[in-house]
Amino acid sequence: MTYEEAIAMYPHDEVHVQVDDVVRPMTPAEYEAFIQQQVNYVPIGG
Amino acid sequence: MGANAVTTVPVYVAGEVLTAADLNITNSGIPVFASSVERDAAFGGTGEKTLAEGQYAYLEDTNATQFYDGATWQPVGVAPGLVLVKTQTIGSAVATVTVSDAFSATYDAYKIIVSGGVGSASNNDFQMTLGASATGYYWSLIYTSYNSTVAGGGSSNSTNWAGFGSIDTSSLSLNIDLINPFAAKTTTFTSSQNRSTIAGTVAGNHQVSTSYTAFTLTAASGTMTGGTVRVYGYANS
Repeated sequence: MTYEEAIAMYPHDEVHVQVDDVVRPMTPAEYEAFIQQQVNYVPIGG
Repeated sequence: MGANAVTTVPVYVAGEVLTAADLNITNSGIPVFASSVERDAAFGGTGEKTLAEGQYAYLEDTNATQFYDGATWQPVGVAPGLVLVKTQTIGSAVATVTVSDAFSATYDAYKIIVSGGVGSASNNDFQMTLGASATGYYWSLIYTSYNSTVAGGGSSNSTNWAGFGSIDTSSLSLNIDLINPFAAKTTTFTSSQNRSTIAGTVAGNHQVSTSYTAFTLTAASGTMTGGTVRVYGYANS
């Protein structure tokens, strides 16, 4: 998945972080890390 | 307080005239109390029984039946080996779920189960961290692609544990055991890999001797919606 594809698939306001019962939007740094994770993700064994 | 709950366990003297209310107290068999506070206040006062070995009680707030062993109140029956510590419902479109106050000195070992819910992406799995630690995670996975060819994967001194459970667009699934997450020792884990394309066994450790009370589950790809995280403690005795 390219960076642009990840941004399009997961817009910033549609992904969240949860701590116990509190679900909040990601900070810019968290969102950037999340997008990079999508770009770099390679499942073990295909 | 329910209809059977009492606030006293009376004792009667010879020749005393018993009222209907007096007799109704005994109709519930085992005395029923709203909580341990009412239970403890119901014995030893004027006109009340002295608490003694063999006394039973039922507590409405915890739905527990207990007996007094002469020194303390004990649960009736065999104590469970696996005790539900915490339940956390997963929200909508979350990339990470942190469960706090999951580990304590009460248990050395824990089982974490995730069930229900869905992932936004198919054929991926979970990652996990302890507290705020982002280093010292070691894990090793042995698997096959549902055939006879054995393969493996893993990582040393990584930023998280990875490669276990299953996240799919139809469900979330995880079964992982941890030993010593609360103790200031190396934490070890065992789990299974259950993705749609591979399955196997994964194990590892966290080589940082720090005590943790919380953990965070992360979808290796995409987000999670719904489902439940349940944390159980293995009874120490």
